[in-house]
Amino acid sequence: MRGDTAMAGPIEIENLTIGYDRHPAIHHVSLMIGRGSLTAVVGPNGAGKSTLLKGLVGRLRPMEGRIRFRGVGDDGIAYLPQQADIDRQFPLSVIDFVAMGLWRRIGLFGAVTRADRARVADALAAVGLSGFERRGIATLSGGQVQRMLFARTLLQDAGLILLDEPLTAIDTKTAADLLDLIRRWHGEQRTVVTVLHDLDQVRGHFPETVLLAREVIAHGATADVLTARNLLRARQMCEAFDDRAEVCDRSSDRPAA
Amino acid sequence: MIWDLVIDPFVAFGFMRRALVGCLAIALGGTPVGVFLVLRRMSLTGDAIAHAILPGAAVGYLVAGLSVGAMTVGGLVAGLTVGLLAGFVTRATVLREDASLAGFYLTSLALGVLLVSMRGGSVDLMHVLLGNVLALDDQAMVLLAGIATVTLVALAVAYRPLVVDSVDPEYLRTVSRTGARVHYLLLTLAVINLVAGFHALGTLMAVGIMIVPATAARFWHRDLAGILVMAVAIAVAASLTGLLLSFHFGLPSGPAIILCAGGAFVLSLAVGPHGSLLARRVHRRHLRA
Amino acid sequence: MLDDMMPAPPPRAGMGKSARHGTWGALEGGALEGGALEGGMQRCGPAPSSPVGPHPAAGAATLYLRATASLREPSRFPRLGGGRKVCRATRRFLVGVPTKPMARGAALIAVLIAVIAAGPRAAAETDPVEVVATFSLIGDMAAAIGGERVSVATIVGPNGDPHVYQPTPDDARRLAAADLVLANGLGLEGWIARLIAAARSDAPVVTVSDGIAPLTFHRTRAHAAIARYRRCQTGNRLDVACARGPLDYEDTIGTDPHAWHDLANARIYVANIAAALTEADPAGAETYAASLAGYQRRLAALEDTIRTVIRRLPDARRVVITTHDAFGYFERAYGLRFEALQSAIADAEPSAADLAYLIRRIRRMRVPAIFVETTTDRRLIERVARETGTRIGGELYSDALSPPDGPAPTFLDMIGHNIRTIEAALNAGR
Repeated sequence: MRGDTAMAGPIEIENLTIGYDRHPAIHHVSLMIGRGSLTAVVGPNGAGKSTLLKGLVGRLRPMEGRIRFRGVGDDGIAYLPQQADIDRQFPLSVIDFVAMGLWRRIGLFGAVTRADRARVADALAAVGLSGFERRGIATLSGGQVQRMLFARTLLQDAGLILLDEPLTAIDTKTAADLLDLIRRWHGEQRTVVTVLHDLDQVRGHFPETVLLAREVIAHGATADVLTARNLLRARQMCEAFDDRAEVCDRSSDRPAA
Repeated sequence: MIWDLVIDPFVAFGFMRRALVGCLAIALGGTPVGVFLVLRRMSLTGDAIAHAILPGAAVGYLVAGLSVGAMTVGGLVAGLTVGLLAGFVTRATVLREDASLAGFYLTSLALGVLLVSMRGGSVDLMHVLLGNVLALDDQAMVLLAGIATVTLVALAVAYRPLVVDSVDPEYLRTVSRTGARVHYLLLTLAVINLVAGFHALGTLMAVGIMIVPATAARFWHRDLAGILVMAVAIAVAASLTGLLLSFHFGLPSGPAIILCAGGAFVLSLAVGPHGSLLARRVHRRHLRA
Repeated sequence: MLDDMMPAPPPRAGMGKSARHGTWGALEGGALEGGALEGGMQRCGPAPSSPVGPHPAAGAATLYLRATASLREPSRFPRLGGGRKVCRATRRFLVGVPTKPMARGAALIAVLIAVIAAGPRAAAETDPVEVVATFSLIGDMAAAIGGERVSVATIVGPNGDPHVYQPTPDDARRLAAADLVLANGLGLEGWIARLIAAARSDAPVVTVSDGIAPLTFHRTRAHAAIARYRRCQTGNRLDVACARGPLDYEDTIGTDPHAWHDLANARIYVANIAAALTEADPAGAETYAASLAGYQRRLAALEDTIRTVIRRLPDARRVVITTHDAFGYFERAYGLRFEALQSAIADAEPSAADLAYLIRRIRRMRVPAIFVETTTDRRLIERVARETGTRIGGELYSDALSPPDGPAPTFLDMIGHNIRTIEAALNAGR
């Protein structure tokens, strides 16, 4: 069962600042994401939600601060980016694409066993893409591509799953199915962090929330975080970079919850 | 009649047999690499590398005189340097493949021209370096065969990460560290196939056999394996037809082969089953579901 | 890996769900007071404290203004339109300038001009004639005729291929400084016209091949031979006498530029060179005439040698296989048959048909040797040799001389080397 390892602990984000050209996209973020938790990350546009996820995956190097994983994600990190930079024109079929999710298991040379093939079929069924096996990825709609990416993430069988706005281009029914899937992951003791825009979905399915507006406004149980006051504070974040801002000299301090 | 036209030239003349085997070798090694280059939008790499090898050849000439071996080795080093540097810059900075390669190969070419003119170049280095498909000696044959083998083995080993890196490089970065290595491997294979091709067959043939069949094969298959096989088949067919045209009608051999490949390309883009001009205009009767 | 450092992108088009209750848009009309912000939240707009430092451009502007303040003071400059004031200022200028140094300077300049003007005339008496030859053969001839009275520079040096040469700025400079330019003509140097135009040289350009009887050539010998073969064949019978006859040049594509291989033409070459030198440097007319006579004698002796050697060759062995068709004039003059892979322009790529034709001919004729050339790629001809089992008889110099330490450093040496190599290879194994 996951979470039984001696090193098990939360993901510790300490005073994390990630930015671009001296301007911080997120600054002085300190968080603890519990192992096996189901966390939503919400905030206005430009709040740095995707940046936070990219920092967790390791795609962006922090200007300050660090992240300690404490054993979380030892069995892989699955990351579903917001705008996947896929070459849709590449001659690949849906089933081959989704089968990429087996990489951690089979690597460069491992054979794809019958069990693996069954898993791929299951993943496709879970996202509602059965029958799409032989279709080329160029022929899929945006929503179908998103679901295909979801199926791949499913197959990755990772301990830490990071999803960046996974439900944007999807209809309500499939969104409900995918939220069930996310809940299933939570049930399997995986740590899931999801960026979402729809606060109703967050209130309905996610026990923990981080309200982010360049820095952490609030973090904790969803009901406590998504209060009107917190939301207003988040709304008042300034979205554009300020070229005349002074050099930041604050040491790490945790914002009021 | 068929015997006289098609088989007899190869039976009667050793140079025809060698030419065919040489073309086969580069079709088996270079064309699959070309397919990946085309799919990754690196089709003009071949021409860029053809210019980039000049300073290496110039240094080889300065060191060892008109020794084709020294110049080929020098050209190989220069081509690899330019190709790998461009690959590194693509992955590490904001520039994409086309810009980084252009920046480096033009610099390399300028350096080569400078080196050549410093020595009072009344010798056209590239003329000495470039070979001809009809003049394949034992050394060139061994080189081509060796490189084809190495390429096939390398592609077989790196097939999976190469495909993933071509479709979704971000994903590969999150699950493995082989993304960059596979990119460099592809560039290395391209450079060695090209330089060996220049040495044995000349620039036009080397680049042409790599790229043109790949562009034609796109219109016949929708899956990668099909495209690879079709591209090699087109390359072999073009080589055979081109050599026969050169034999019966006195056309120069290299251009004849590439013209046949080009003809296949034009035909494919006009009437190929997938994504061609015809396919996009004329629709078959649709099914019920 | 630091790509994609942009902050989160704006919301997608599909986000027009602001009407929905749970999204951010619903806060617009919310009944919330804009209360005071808690600490920890950064303000938008200009920061309260002073900026980091003055704008760098502002600093520079201040410095400039300060430095030029004195210049802008009204008292320094005469006011335009104030007549008397202007005159006073101008007079002050003229009066204030001392005259002595000016006079000294003017005298110095006058002397310099005199020296420079006098210079070239004095030098012209002893300077050699600057001759630029397009390639090594002509350069050697010019040096042989001119001796110490000329200084010869060559554009395409030893072992260089004059058909495909790429000129450099150095060549343009040499041309500009030349007194006389010697070119072969007959289409050998395709690059020369542009080079002369670019160099803007006013030196006379002499075509040394003026006066020879030119030879034309087919696209390839193979085609000419195949055409003749077909012409001479009736049904299954081949008219041997017809097939041995001359190649029909009806399908010509150009003039063969390698006129120098016929030594009668070489005599015309050196005569033209001597005439050109005499015109450029009349004082040396005697020297040139003497050199010319001596050279012509040596050419005549060489020609005798050639005819003797060829006469001694058995009929069946009077054929030389080379890479490109450079020896057409030699063949016409001395009766030795030459067959080549590539046509006289040497840049056209041979086809498989050309190779096949040559291989068949060699097998039928059973020639004893094949010859490579110094200026062209030898791989093709070596392939032909390998395939027919013929050995390589040696190296021929067709378009260029060898370097000074090689076997053909001068034109006469080159001709001698060629004929000796041919003789040795064709006589071997008898």
